[in-house]
Amino acid sequence: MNTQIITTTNLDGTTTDHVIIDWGNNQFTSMLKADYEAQQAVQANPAQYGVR
Amino acid sequence: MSRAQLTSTVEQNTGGAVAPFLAGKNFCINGGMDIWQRGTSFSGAGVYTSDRWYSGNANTTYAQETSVVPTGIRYAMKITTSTTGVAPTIWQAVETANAIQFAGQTVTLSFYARSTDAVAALIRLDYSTTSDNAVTGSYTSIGASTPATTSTGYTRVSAQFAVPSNALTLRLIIGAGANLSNGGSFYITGIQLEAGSVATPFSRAGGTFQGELALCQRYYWRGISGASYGFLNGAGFSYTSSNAQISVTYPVTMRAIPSSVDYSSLVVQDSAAGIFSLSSITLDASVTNTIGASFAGTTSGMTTNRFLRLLGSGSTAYIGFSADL
Repeated sequence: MNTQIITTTNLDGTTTDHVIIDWGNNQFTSMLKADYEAQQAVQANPAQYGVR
Repeated sequence: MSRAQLTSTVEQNTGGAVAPFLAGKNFCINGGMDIWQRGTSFSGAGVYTSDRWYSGNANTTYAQETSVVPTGIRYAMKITTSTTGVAPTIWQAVETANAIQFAGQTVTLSFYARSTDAVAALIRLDYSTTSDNAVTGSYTSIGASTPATTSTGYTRVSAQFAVPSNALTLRLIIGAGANLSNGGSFYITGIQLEAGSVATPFSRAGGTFQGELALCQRYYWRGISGASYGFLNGAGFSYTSSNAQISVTYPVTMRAIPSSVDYSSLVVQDSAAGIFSLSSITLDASVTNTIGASFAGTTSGMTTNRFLRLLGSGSTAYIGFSADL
Protein backbone atom coordinates (compact mmCIF):
# COMPACT_ATOMS: atom_id res chain seq x y z
CA MET A 1 0.00 0.00 0.00
CA ASN A 2 1.35 3.41 -1.01
CA THR A 3 -0.01 6.82 -0.12
CA GLN A 4 0.21 10.23 -1.74
CA ILE A 5 -0.81 13.58 -0.24
CA ILE A 6 -2.47 16.12 -2.54
CA THR A 7 -3.58 19.65 -1.65
CA THR A 8 -6.47 20.96 -3.74
CA THR A 9 -8.14 24.33 -4.07
CA ASN A 10 -11.91 24.10 -3.88
CA LEU A 11 -14.33 26.19 -5.93
CA ASP A 12 -14.87 28.46 -2.93
CA GLY A 13 -11.14 29.14 -2.72
CA THR A 14 -10.43 27.08 0.36
CA THR A 15 -7.80 24.36 0.26
CA THR A 16 -8.11 20.74 1.35
CA ASP A 17 -5.48 18.10 1.99
CA HIS A 18 -6.28 14.65 0.60
CA VAL A 19 -4.58 11.29 0.91
CA ILE A 20 -4.74 8.85 -1.98
CA ILE A 21 -4.17 5.25 -0.97
CA ASP A 22 -2.95 2.88 -3.66
CA TRP A 23 -4.09 -0.61 -2.64
CA GLY A 24 -2.43 -2.26 -5.63
CA ASN A 25 -4.34 -3.96 -8.45
CA ASN A 26 -5.32 -0.53 -9.76
CA GLN A 27 -7.59 0.15 -6.78
CA PHE A 28 -7.48 3.44 -4.90
CA THR A 29 -9.16 5.30 -2.07
CA SER A 30 -9.09 9.07 -1.80
CA MET A 31 -10.05 10.73 1.46
CA LEU A 32 -9.49 13.78 3.54
CA LYS A 33 -6.12 13.74 5.24
CA ALA A 34 -7.76 14.23 8.64
CA ASP A 35 -9.93 11.12 8.16
CA TYR A 36 -6.95 9.10 7.02
CA GLU A 37 -5.00 10.08 10.11
CA ALA A 38 -7.91 9.04 12.33
CA GLN A 39 -7.99 5.64 10.64
CA GLN A 40 -4.27 5.27 11.09
CA ALA A 41 -4.67 5.95 14.80
CA VAL A 42 -7.01 2.97 15.05
CA GLN A 43 -4.60 0.74 13.20
CA ALA A 44 -1.65 1.87 15.31
CA ASN A 45 -3.33 1.45 18.67
CA PRO A 46 -6.27 -0.91 18.21
CA ALA A 47 -6.72 -1.68 21.91
CA GLN A 48 -7.55 1.95 22.58
CA TYR A 49 -10.63 1.55 20.42
CA GLY A 50 -11.54 -1.87 21.73
CA VAL A 51 -10.31 -3.68 18.62
CA ARG A 52 -8.69 -6.91 19.67
CA MET B 1 -50.59 2.50 15.61
CA SER B 2 -48.35 1.26 12.84
CA ARG B 3 -47.61 -2.41 12.20
CA ALA B 4 -44.06 -1.94 13.49
CA GLN B 5 -45.28 -0.30 16.70
CA LEU B 6 -47.81 -3.06 17.19
CA THR B 7 -45.06 -5.61 16.85
CA SER B 8 -42.80 -4.02 19.40
CA THR B 9 -45.40 -3.07 21.99
CA VAL B 10 -47.86 -5.91 21.92
CA GLU B 11 -46.77 -8.99 20.10
CA GLN B 12 -43.22 -9.07 21.42
CA ASN B 13 -44.31 -8.52 24.97
CA THR B 14 -46.77 -11.39 24.77
CA GLY B 15 -44.48 -13.64 22.76
CA GLY B 16 -47.11 -13.80 20.04
CA ALA B 17 -46.50 -14.62 16.41
CA VAL B 18 -44.77 -12.01 14.31
CA ALA B 19 -45.13 -11.93 10.57
CA PRO B 20 -41.80 -12.49 8.80
CA PHE B 21 -40.30 -10.04 6.30
CA LEU B 22 -41.63 -7.10 8.25
CA ALA B 23 -39.76 -3.86 7.57
CA GLY B 24 -39.18 -1.57 10.49
CA LYS B 25 -38.75 -3.90 13.45
CA ASN B 26 -35.05 -4.66 12.91
CA PHE B 27 -32.67 -1.74 13.40
CA CYS B 28 -29.52 -3.62 12.42
CA ILE B 29 -28.81 -2.82 8.78
CA ASN B 30 -27.64 -5.68 6.56
CA GLY B 31 -28.23 -8.18 9.35
CA GLY B 32 -28.82 -10.88 6.74
CA MET B 33 -25.46 -10.15 5.05
CA ASP B 34 -27.26 -9.54 1.78
CA ILE B 35 -25.21 -6.57 0.62
CA TRP B 36 -21.47 -6.72 -0.21
CA GLN B 37 -20.78 -3.60 -2.25
CA ARG B 38 -17.07 -3.40 -1.33
CA GLY B 39 -16.28 -7.01 -2.22
CA THR B 40 -16.73 -10.47 -0.75
CA SER B 41 -13.48 -11.09 1.15
CA PHE B 42 -11.49 -8.87 3.51
CA SER B 43 -8.68 -9.22 5.99
CA GLY B 44 -7.47 -7.53 9.13
CA ALA B 45 -8.87 -5.13 11.70
CA GLY B 46 -10.42 -1.77 11.04
CA VAL B 47 -11.97 -2.23 7.60
CA TYR B 48 -15.55 -2.29 6.36
CA THR B 49 -16.50 -5.74 5.13
CA SER B 50 -20.06 -6.55 4.09
CA ASP B 51 -22.03 -3.34 4.11
CA ARG B 52 -22.20 -1.62 7.51
CA TRP B 53 -20.03 -4.26 9.24
CA TYR B 54 -16.61 -3.24 10.55
CA SER B 55 -13.90 -5.80 11.21
CA GLY B 56 -12.61 -6.08 14.75
CA ASN B 57 -9.53 -8.26 14.49
CA ALA B 58 -6.14 -8.70 12.92
CA ASN B 59 -5.00 -12.11 11.65
CA THR B 60 -8.55 -12.73 10.51
CA THR B 61 -10.42 -12.95 7.20
CA TYR B 62 -14.02 -11.92 6.73
CA ALA B 63 -15.71 -13.55 3.75
CA GLN B 64 -19.10 -14.04 2.18
CA GLU B 65 -20.42 -17.55 2.90
CA THR B 66 -22.99 -19.05 0.56
CA SER B 67 -23.03 -22.74 1.55
CA VAL B 68 -23.04 -22.89 5.35
CA VAL B 69 -26.15 -20.79 5.94
CA PRO B 70 -29.38 -21.23 7.91
CA THR B 71 -32.50 -22.25 6.03
CA GLY B 72 -34.14 -19.23 4.47
CA ILE B 73 -31.07 -17.00 4.48
CA ARG B 74 -28.80 -16.62 1.45
CA TYR B 75 -25.54 -15.38 2.95
CA ALA B 76 -23.53 -15.47 6.16
CA MET B 77 -20.28 -13.87 7.25
CA LYS B 78 -17.52 -16.47 7.62
CA ILE B 79 -14.77 -15.25 9.90
CA THR B 80 -11.58 -17.30 9.89
CA THR B 81 -8.52 -16.79 12.03
CA SER B 82 -4.95 -17.39 10.89
CA THR B 83 -3.41 -17.64 14.33
CA THR B 84 -4.31 -18.66 17.86
CA GLY B 85 -5.63 -16.33 20.54
CA VAL B 86 -8.26 -14.51 18.46
CA ALA B 87 -11.95 -14.21 19.33
CA PRO B 88 -13.09 -12.40 16.19
CA THR B 89 -15.88 -9.85 16.14
CA ILE B 90 -17.73 -7.55 13.78
CA TRP B 91 -19.13 -4.16 14.73
CA GLN B 92 -21.91 -1.85 13.62
CA ALA B 93 -22.77 1.63 14.88
CA VAL B 94 -26.46 2.55 15.01
CA GLU B 95 -26.81 6.23 14.22
CA THR B 96 -28.71 8.58 16.49
CA ALA B 97 -31.73 8.88 14.18
CA ASN B 98 -32.38 5.16 14.73
CA ALA B 99 -30.88 4.68 18.21
CA ILE B 100 -32.66 7.50 20.02
CA GLN B 101 -35.93 5.58 20.25
CA PHE B 102 -34.22 2.93 22.37
CA ALA B 103 -33.07 5.35 25.08
CA GLY B 104 -34.43 4.11 28.40
CA GLN B 105 -35.87 0.99 26.74
CA THR B 106 -35.09 -2.73 26.75
CA VAL B 107 -33.76 -4.08 23.46
CA THR B 108 -32.98 -7.55 22.21
CA LEU B 109 -30.01 -8.38 20.01
CA SER B 110 -30.05 -11.76 18.31
CA PHE B 111 -28.34 -13.61 15.47
CA TYR B 112 -27.56 -17.03 14.01
CA ALA B 113 -24.14 -18.31 15.12
CA ARG B 114 -22.11 -21.38 14.24
CA SER B 115 -18.50 -22.23 14.93
CA THR B 116 -16.15 -24.95 13.76
CA ASP B 117 -14.74 -24.94 17.30
CA ALA B 118 -18.11 -24.83 19.09
CA VAL B 119 -17.00 -21.81 21.11
CA ALA B 120 -19.49 -19.47 22.73
CA ALA B 121 -20.86 -16.48 20.85
CA LEU B 122 -20.40 -12.89 21.99
CA ILE B 123 -23.36 -10.51 22.06
CA ARG B 124 -22.35 -7.08 23.28
CA LEU B 125 -24.08 -3.71 23.14
CA ASP B 126 -22.31 -0.39 23.75
CA TYR B 127 -23.70 3.11 23.96
CA SER B 128 -22.41 6.61 23.51
CA THR B 129 -23.79 9.98 24.53
CA THR B 130 -22.24 11.45 21.39
CA SER B 131 -24.55 11.96 18.44
CA ASP B 132 -23.66 9.75 15.46
CA ASN B 133 -20.50 8.51 17.13
CA ALA B 134 -18.14 6.70 14.76
CA VAL B 135 -17.85 2.93 15.13
CA THR B 136 -14.27 3.43 16.36
CA GLY B 137 -15.25 6.17 18.79
CA SER B 138 -15.43 5.99 22.56
CA TYR B 139 -18.30 3.88 23.92
CA THR B 140 -19.45 2.46 27.25
CA SER B 141 -20.50 -1.18 27.42
CA ILE B 142 -24.13 -1.79 28.41
CA GLY B 143 -23.45 -5.49 28.78
CA ALA B 144 -22.30 -8.67 27.12
CA SER B 145 -23.53 -12.24 26.90
CA THR B 146 -21.75 -15.40 25.76
CA PRO B 147 -24.32 -18.05 24.81
CA ALA B 148 -23.17 -21.44 23.55
CA THR B 149 -22.98 -22.47 19.89
CA THR B 150 -22.33 -25.76 18.16
CA SER B 151 -20.25 -26.94 15.23
CA THR B 152 -23.06 -28.98 13.73
CA GLY B 153 -25.57 -26.27 12.94
CA TYR B 154 -26.65 -22.72 13.54
CA THR B 155 -27.88 -21.61 16.95
CA ARG B 156 -30.13 -18.60 17.33
CA VAL B 157 -28.50 -16.67 20.18
CA SER B 158 -29.93 -13.59 21.87
CA ALA B 159 -29.45 -11.20 24.76
CA GLN B 160 -31.41 -8.37 26.30
CA PHE B 161 -30.03 -4.98 27.25
CA ALA B 162 -31.39 -1.98 29.16
CA VAL B 163 -30.33 1.04 27.14
CA PRO B 164 -29.49 4.10 29.27
CA SER B 165 -31.81 7.06 28.86
CA ASN B 166 -28.98 9.31 27.66
CA ALA B 167 -27.82 6.98 24.86
CA LEU B 168 -27.50 8.68 21.48
CA THR B 169 -25.51 6.10 19.51
CA LEU B 170 -25.42 2.33 19.92
CA ARG B 171 -22.68 -0.06 18.85
CA LEU B 172 -23.29 -3.75 18.24
CA ILE B 173 -20.32 -6.07 18.73
CA ILE B 174 -20.96 -9.69 17.87
CA GLY B 175 -18.80 -12.68 17.12
CA ALA B 176 -16.95 -15.36 18.99
CA GLY B 177 -17.00 -15.24 22.77
CA ALA B 178 -13.78 -17.22 23.13
CA ASN B 179 -10.61 -17.75 21.13
CA LEU B 180 -10.82 -19.86 18.00
CA SER B 181 -8.17 -22.38 17.04
CA ASN B 182 -5.73 -21.43 14.28
CA GLY B 183 -7.81 -21.78 11.12
CA GLY B 184 -11.08 -21.98 13.03
CA SER B 185 -14.15 -20.31 11.59
CA PHE B 186 -17.14 -18.54 13.08
CA TYR B 187 -20.31 -17.93 11.04
CA ILE B 188 -22.76 -15.08 11.61
CA THR B 189 -25.99 -14.02 9.93
CA GLY B 190 -29.56 -13.01 10.67
CA ILE B 191 -28.57 -10.26 13.07
CA GLN B 192 -31.47 -8.36 14.57
CA LEU B 193 -31.75 -5.45 16.99
CA GLU B 194 -35.31 -4.84 18.12
CA ALA B 195 -37.33 -3.21 20.85
CA GLY B 196 -38.63 -5.36 23.68
CA SER B 197 -37.35 -8.38 25.53
CA VAL B 198 -38.25 -11.12 23.04
CA ALA B 199 -36.10 -12.23 20.08
CA THR B 200 -38.57 -12.51 17.22
CA PRO B 201 -37.87 -14.22 13.87
CA PHE B 202 -35.32 -12.41 11.73
CA SER B 203 -36.40 -10.03 9.03
CA ARG B 204 -34.40 -7.48 7.07
CA ALA B 205 -34.37 -3.91 8.34
CA GLY B 206 -35.42 -2.83 4.86
CA GLY B 207 -37.97 -5.61 4.38
CA THR B 208 -37.06 -6.43 0.77
CA PHE B 209 -33.64 -6.84 -0.84
CA GLN B 210 -34.11 -3.50 -2.58
CA GLY B 211 -35.07 -1.90 0.72
CA GLU B 212 -31.96 -3.30 2.36
CA LEU B 213 -29.76 -2.11 -0.52
CA ALA B 214 -31.14 1.41 -0.22
CA LEU B 215 -30.46 1.42 3.52
CA CYS B 216 -26.87 0.38 2.87
CA GLN B 217 -26.41 2.90 0.06
CA ARG B 218 -27.22 5.66 2.50
CA TYR B 219 -23.86 4.84 4.13
CA TYR B 220 -21.84 3.61 1.16
CA TRP B 221 -22.57 3.50 -2.52
CA ARG B 222 -20.46 1.82 -5.17
CA GLY B 223 -21.27 1.99 -8.85
CA ILE B 224 -19.69 -0.76 -10.95
CA SER B 225 -19.13 -0.41 -14.69
CA GLY B 226 -20.40 -3.85 -15.68
CA ALA B 227 -19.43 -3.28 -19.31
CA SER B 228 -16.42 -2.48 -21.49
CA TYR B 229 -17.06 1.22 -20.89
CA GLY B 230 -19.96 1.22 -18.45
CA PHE B 231 -21.55 4.48 -17.36
CA LEU B 232 -20.79 5.46 -13.77
CA ASN B 233 -23.50 8.05 -13.21
CA GLY B 234 -21.21 11.06 -13.63
CA ALA B 235 -20.64 13.90 -16.05
CA GLY B 236 -18.60 17.09 -16.12
CA PHE B 237 -16.16 19.13 -18.11
CA SER B 238 -12.49 19.54 -18.85
CA TYR B 239 -11.42 22.42 -16.63
CA THR B 240 -7.94 22.35 -18.11
CA SER B 241 -6.15 19.94 -20.40
CA SER B 242 -5.18 17.85 -17.36
CA ASN B 243 -8.04 18.47 -14.89
CA ALA B 244 -11.47 16.89 -15.28
CA GLN B 245 -14.24 18.20 -13.03
CA ILE B 246 -16.87 15.49 -12.62
CA SER B 247 -20.14 15.35 -10.70
CA VAL B 248 -21.88 12.16 -9.64
CA THR B 249 -25.43 11.86 -8.29
CA TYR B 250 -25.93 9.17 -5.63
CA PRO B 251 -28.86 6.75 -5.97
CA VAL B 252 -30.10 7.69 -2.46
CA THR B 253 -29.47 10.64 -0.18
CA MET B 254 -26.47 9.74 1.95
CA ARG B 255 -26.31 9.82 5.74
CA ALA B 256 -23.68 12.56 5.70
CA ILE B 257 -21.35 14.18 3.23
CA PRO B 258 -19.03 11.39 2.06
CA SER B 259 -15.53 11.60 3.39
CA SER B 260 -13.85 9.21 0.97
CA VAL B 261 -14.09 7.91 -2.56
CA ASP B 262 -12.97 4.48 -3.76
CA TYR B 263 -12.18 4.03 -7.45
CA SER B 264 -10.64 1.79 -10.02
CA SER B 265 -10.06 2.20 -13.77
CA LEU B 266 -12.00 5.44 -14.24
CA VAL B 267 -12.03 7.19 -17.59
CA VAL B 268 -13.84 10.17 -19.07
CA GLN B 269 -15.13 10.38 -22.61
CA ASP B 270 -15.03 13.52 -24.68
CA SER B 271 -17.20 12.81 -27.69
CA ALA B 272 -14.83 14.73 -29.96
CA ALA B 273 -11.48 13.62 -28.62
CA GLY B 274 -11.94 10.16 -27.18
CA ILE B 275 -11.17 8.45 -23.88
CA PHE B 276 -8.90 9.77 -21.11
CA SER B 277 -7.85 7.80 -18.03
CA LEU B 278 -8.32 9.50 -14.66
CA SER B 279 -5.98 9.35 -11.71
CA SER B 280 -5.56 11.16 -8.39
CA ILE B 281 -9.27 11.63 -7.69
CA THR B 282 -9.98 14.25 -4.99
CA LEU B 283 -13.38 15.22 -3.63
CA ASP B 284 -14.29 18.90 -3.82
CA ALA B 285 -15.40 19.62 -0.27
CA SER B 286 -17.06 22.89 -1.22
CA VAL B 287 -19.48 21.25 -3.66
CA THR B 288 -19.90 17.65 -2.50
CA ASN B 289 -23.00 17.12 -0.35
CA THR B 290 -25.42 14.37 0.61
CA ILE B 291 -27.11 14.15 -2.82
CA GLY B 292 -24.07 14.25 -5.07
CA ALA B 293 -20.32 14.51 -5.26
CA SER B 294 -17.98 16.66 -7.25
CA PHE B 295 -14.41 15.62 -7.74
CA ALA B 296 -11.34 16.43 -9.74
CA GLY B 297 -9.42 13.83 -11.70
CA THR B 298 -6.01 14.18 -13.25
CA THR B 299 -5.34 13.23 -16.84
CA SER B 300 -3.54 14.74 -19.85
CA GLY B 301 -4.20 15.82 -23.41
CA MET B 302 -7.79 16.99 -23.07
CA THR B 303 -9.22 20.01 -24.83
CA THR B 304 -10.39 22.61 -22.30
CA ASN B 305 -14.11 23.16 -21.70
CA ARG B 306 -15.41 20.01 -23.32
CA PHE B 307 -18.33 18.02 -21.95
CA LEU B 308 -17.24 14.74 -20.36
CA ARG B 309 -19.06 11.67 -19.12
CA LEU B 310 -17.68 9.32 -16.48
CA LEU B 311 -17.16 5.71 -17.53
CA GLY B 312 -15.37 2.66 -16.22
CA SER B 313 -12.71 1.01 -18.32
CA GLY B 314 -13.66 -2.65 -18.08
CA SER B 315 -16.52 -4.40 -16.36
CA THR B 316 -14.97 -4.32 -12.89
CA ALA B 317 -14.19 -0.59 -12.85
CA TYR B 318 -15.97 1.26 -10.07
CA ILE B 319 -16.45 4.41 -8.07
CA GLY B 320 -17.70 4.37 -4.46
CA PHE B 321 -18.52 6.99 -1.86
CA SER B 322 -18.46 6.43 1.89
CA ALA B 323 -20.45 8.21 4.56
CA ASP B 324 -20.28 5.22 6.87
CA LEU B 325 -20.39 5.54 10.60
